[in-house]
Amino acid sequence: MYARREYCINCHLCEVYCVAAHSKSRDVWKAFKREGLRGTHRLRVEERRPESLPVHCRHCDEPQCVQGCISGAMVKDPETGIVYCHEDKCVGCWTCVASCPYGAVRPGYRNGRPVALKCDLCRDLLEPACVAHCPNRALVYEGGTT
Amino acid sequence: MSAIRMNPPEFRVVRDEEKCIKCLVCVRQCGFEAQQYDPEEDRVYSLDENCVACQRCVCLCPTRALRIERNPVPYKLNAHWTPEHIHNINKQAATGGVLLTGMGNDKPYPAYFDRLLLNASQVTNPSIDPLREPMELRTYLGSRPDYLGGEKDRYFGPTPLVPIETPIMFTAISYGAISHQAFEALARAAKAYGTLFNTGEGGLPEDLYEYADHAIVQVASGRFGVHSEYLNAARVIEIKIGQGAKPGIGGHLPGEKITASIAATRMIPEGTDALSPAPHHDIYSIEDLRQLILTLKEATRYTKPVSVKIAAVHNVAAIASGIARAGADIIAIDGFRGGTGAAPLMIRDHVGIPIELAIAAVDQRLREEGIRNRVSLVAAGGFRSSADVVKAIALGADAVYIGTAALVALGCHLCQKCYTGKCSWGIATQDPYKTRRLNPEIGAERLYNLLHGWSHEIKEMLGGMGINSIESLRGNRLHLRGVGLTEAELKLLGVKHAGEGM
Amino acid sequence: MRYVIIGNSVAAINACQGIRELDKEGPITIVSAEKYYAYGRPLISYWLEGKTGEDKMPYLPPDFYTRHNINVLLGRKALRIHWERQEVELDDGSRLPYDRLLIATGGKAIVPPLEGLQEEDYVTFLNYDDARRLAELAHPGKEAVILGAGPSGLKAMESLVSRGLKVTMVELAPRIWSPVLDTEAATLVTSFLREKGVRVILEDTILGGSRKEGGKLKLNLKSGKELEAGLLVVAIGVRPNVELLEQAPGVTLKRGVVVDEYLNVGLPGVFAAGDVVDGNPPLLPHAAAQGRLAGRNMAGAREKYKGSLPYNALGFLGLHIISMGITNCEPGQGYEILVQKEENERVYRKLVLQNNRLIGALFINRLERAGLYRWLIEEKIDVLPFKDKLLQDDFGFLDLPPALWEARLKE
Ligand SMILES: Cc1cc2nc3c(=O)[nH]c(=O)nc-3n(C[C@H](O)[C@H](O)[C@H](O)COP(=O)(O)OP(=O)(O)OC[C@H]3O[C@@H](n4cnc5c(N)ncnc54)[C@H](O)[C@@H]3O)c2cc1C
Ligand code: SF4
Ligand code: SF4
Ligand code: SF4
Ligand code: SF4
Repeated sequence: MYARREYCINCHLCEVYCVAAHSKSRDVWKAFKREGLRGTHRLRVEERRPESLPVHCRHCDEPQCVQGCISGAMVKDPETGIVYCHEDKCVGCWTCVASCPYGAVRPGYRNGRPVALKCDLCRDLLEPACVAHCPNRALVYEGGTT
Repeated sequence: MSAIRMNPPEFRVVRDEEKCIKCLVCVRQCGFEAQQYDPEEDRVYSLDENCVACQRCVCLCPTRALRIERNPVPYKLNAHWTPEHIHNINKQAATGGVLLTGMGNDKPYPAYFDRLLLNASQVTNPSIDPLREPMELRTYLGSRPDYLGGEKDRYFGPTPLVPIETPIMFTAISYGAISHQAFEALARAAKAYGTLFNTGEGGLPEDLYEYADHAIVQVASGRFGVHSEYLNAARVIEIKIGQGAKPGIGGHLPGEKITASIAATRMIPEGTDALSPAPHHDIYSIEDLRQLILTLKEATRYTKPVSVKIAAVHNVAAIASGIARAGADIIAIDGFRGGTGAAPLMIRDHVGIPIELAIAAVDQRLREEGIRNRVSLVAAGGFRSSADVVKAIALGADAVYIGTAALVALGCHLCQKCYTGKCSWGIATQDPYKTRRLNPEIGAERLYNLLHGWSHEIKEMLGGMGINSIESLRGNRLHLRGVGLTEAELKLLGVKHAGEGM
Repeated sequence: MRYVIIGNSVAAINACQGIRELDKEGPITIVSAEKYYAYGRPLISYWLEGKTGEDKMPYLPPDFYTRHNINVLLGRKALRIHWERQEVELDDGSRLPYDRLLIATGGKAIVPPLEGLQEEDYVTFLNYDDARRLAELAHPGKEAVILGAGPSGLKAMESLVSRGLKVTMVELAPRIWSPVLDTEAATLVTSFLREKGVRVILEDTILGGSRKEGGKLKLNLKSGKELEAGLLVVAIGVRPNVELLEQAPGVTLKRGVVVDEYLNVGLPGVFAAGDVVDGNPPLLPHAAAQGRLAGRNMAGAREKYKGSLPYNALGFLGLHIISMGITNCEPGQGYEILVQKEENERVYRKLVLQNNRLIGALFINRLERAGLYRWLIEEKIDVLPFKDKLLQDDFGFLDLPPALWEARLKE
């Protein structure tokens, strides 16, 4: 997955749909209005007008977030290579926030608990939600984990 | 010093607070600062007076929470003093300026396309199914000899005919009036479909020379970006005399829009205004025009047909005849509905004539003079659908230019604010925050789809009429019938009234 | 190839992973003095305050050991090593032969001389058993004294406060967590603690004490003060657990065991990783990194340990701190310090620069993208072109020259 930043239009819809994809309902409106998930996006769009840039987890080969995790919540799936966080195991110590050299782990809250918000490549979906909903094809996903 | 805002907002932004998730997409996307966010209050709100109804926010809002409404102005009803007139007067009373606008004439003048109906075959001359039988949409643009071997009679060399795979081309829209991204989308789609795009008067950006073999390059009164490589790379050269949206006047691209790349393309200093004079300062007669045509042909060794583009005005038929005799290979006629990036409102809305009448008149005149073969006739100005295209061809055009329709395919919602340079859709703007909104890859795909859809429809209409090639339809007015037209109109269009037989 | 690993914590299991990356077969035996499968050691405070459950303690999925063909001897201590015979002797008398050995014994709590007090009078805060002991002792309303206001003391404090105890912290330095927090940051944190009802006593320590009738402790401070406590926690740091290596031929012991760049201790086939290693910051990411590399080198790789600056994330009672590199220094001496403060929000962000390179960063309560700064530190990136942007709330890649990151993000 990579971003063609010349086409990023700073709409932040990727963030919106990332939130929805990680909600119980998988519905934008419910995610924001009923599940209280506003702000729990995993990727983050940087903004320096006119430029903007979606920054994603790179699903590193040697993920420092995993190496730093104190609880064993952050893992790299040996089969798919996806680096993701078991949110029920995460205790919100934010070592991963300090570890990731891309700033790709966000300290966040979900269901009243502090949890590390981190891209899981929407591993239960066919296509990452951010890519599927980018209105300008600025996000490109070619399979694989980087 | 602040003055009373005399004009109430034209539109009203209606946000369904129940649906809104405060994602701020609208705030980031509105090109006119009509959508606002107050972080202290965590409140998304709108400045209605700024809204131009471009619909960008509506289209991008993920929860469909937005609607733009016309703001009803409760003036006392007055058929003569419409709100529009009142508002225009107020604007001018405040600024003392000329009223500006963008896109084409939007006044309720008759659209003759909507008063013309097509024929279809029944029983004796059966219709053709374009999915089963060959159907030719390819047409050739350029000058044909008066008779076989007749080329030798003309004392300048013949130029080759240019094939296009569908009788639809993209009209002249300059780089500068639109973004590089929009320009590139047009170029890519033209090449992909095997038709032509038109550079307009702003030259061809260097990085798009790979599309030059599908380009009609313009030479306009400002001569922007004209150099020998430009001419020689092109497929067709077009001398721009007039434009349907603003016949008789020049153009003005303000210095703020002249970015480094546009300046380089236009060959003018960065940040200076690009002024196109109303006339070409070296053309005051048909002979002068002939000289320029021949100069351009000479410069390109007679390898490029030369087109001359004029606005459809009252004397269009005689002018066209002169142009044909001046040695042009193509005449492009732009009707009064033609679009523009910026035009004085009064000119746009009150000058020129409908393209349908212009085509009919020109085609008729050239036939009568026996010189119709010398030129291809390209019609432009307000083509909205494939049916408009078919009717124009039946009236006598060889092909058409589409402009507004193409921009709509790229996202334009006809807010008519092109002249402000703020286009929310990244089309008529050079603001790098907005130009990126148009991914040329997506734009080219959408344009290609549009060409594909229209072309398919044209084939079906042709098949219905029992015709298997677009060239057989050209000027075939027997396939048209008028409805609700006066005697004079029918005569000018050269069509019978509906109900009359062959 | 037979692998034996002493210790069953972060360094150990990362070593297993490192070994298995290169050698899928060779039997691995782990000797674990603790009777638990590896757990995130720092989790003990979360467990103690009920923020994570028993079931969430294991660091790895339950099938990790079987899947990787690892034999774990739980509750078994390595007593000594017979270097010439390449055997580890266990506390049940059995011997484990090895071809490759990893010393991942971590550290043990430092306990100062406490005159008049016995081992049962205080609790250290290092492992699961410590936490379990505390869980039995820490009843709401009780008065607890914690000796040492460093990271583990602070984490112990959090757990005890959450359990409803009245906590007093005693710290010898003039401020809490003095190696990392400067005066201003320490003051901010201390005032936060006091607001939460924690008593903080600075520049003082406990010399000894006695148990009074009714089980309460009377503690004597250096200043002459006396404190009463129902519970005493000693958390003044850890010392590398190097006993097994004493007298080992060719091995240098300083504070910890000295290793070469391949993490070898100076004996063929014997490696060390984690808190036991001299000079390695006693922090989990560093133990993990060393463990993995040691594992790979045990399995035949020859990779050098590059090391990384200490960095740490510490949170308690809702306050969060991330520190990295050198954070506690004053301007001058070639340091340039950039600071951002928002008193109301208790936000404090400080960057330490030297020759236009970032060498340290401290963030309190605004931590977003902390890792990006760590990257700037580790890569020694010249920050001059964007120095003024560094402390912006949304500082990010777009503030850096694209040459630095564009290719990386496209990878
Ligand atoms: C309460 C607490 C909170 C912490 N919080 C953080 C934090 O937030 N962030 C952070 O980065 N770091 C933190 N740390 C530090 C981190 O836990 C250590 O750096 C890390 O655990 C070191 O791992 P290790 O494998 O080197 O050693 P250890 O985790 O110390 O493991 C060594 C193991 O070896 C066993 N052992 C020792 N000797 C023998 C023997 N002879 N035979 C058999 N087994 C033996 C011990 O019982 C122990 O299980 C914290 C530590 C504690 C105690
Ligand atoms: S969060 Fe950061 S360190 Fe972890 S895999 Fe993603 S990019 Fe790598
Ligand atoms: S891939 Fe999925 S989880 Fe990752 S940033 Fe995109 S939407 Fe979020
Ligand atoms: S100007 Fe366009 S984007 Fe802005 S509020 Fe109006 S319709 Fe929406
Ligand atoms: S885009 Fe729609 S949902 Fe988002 S803030 Fe605007 S109105 Fe609300």
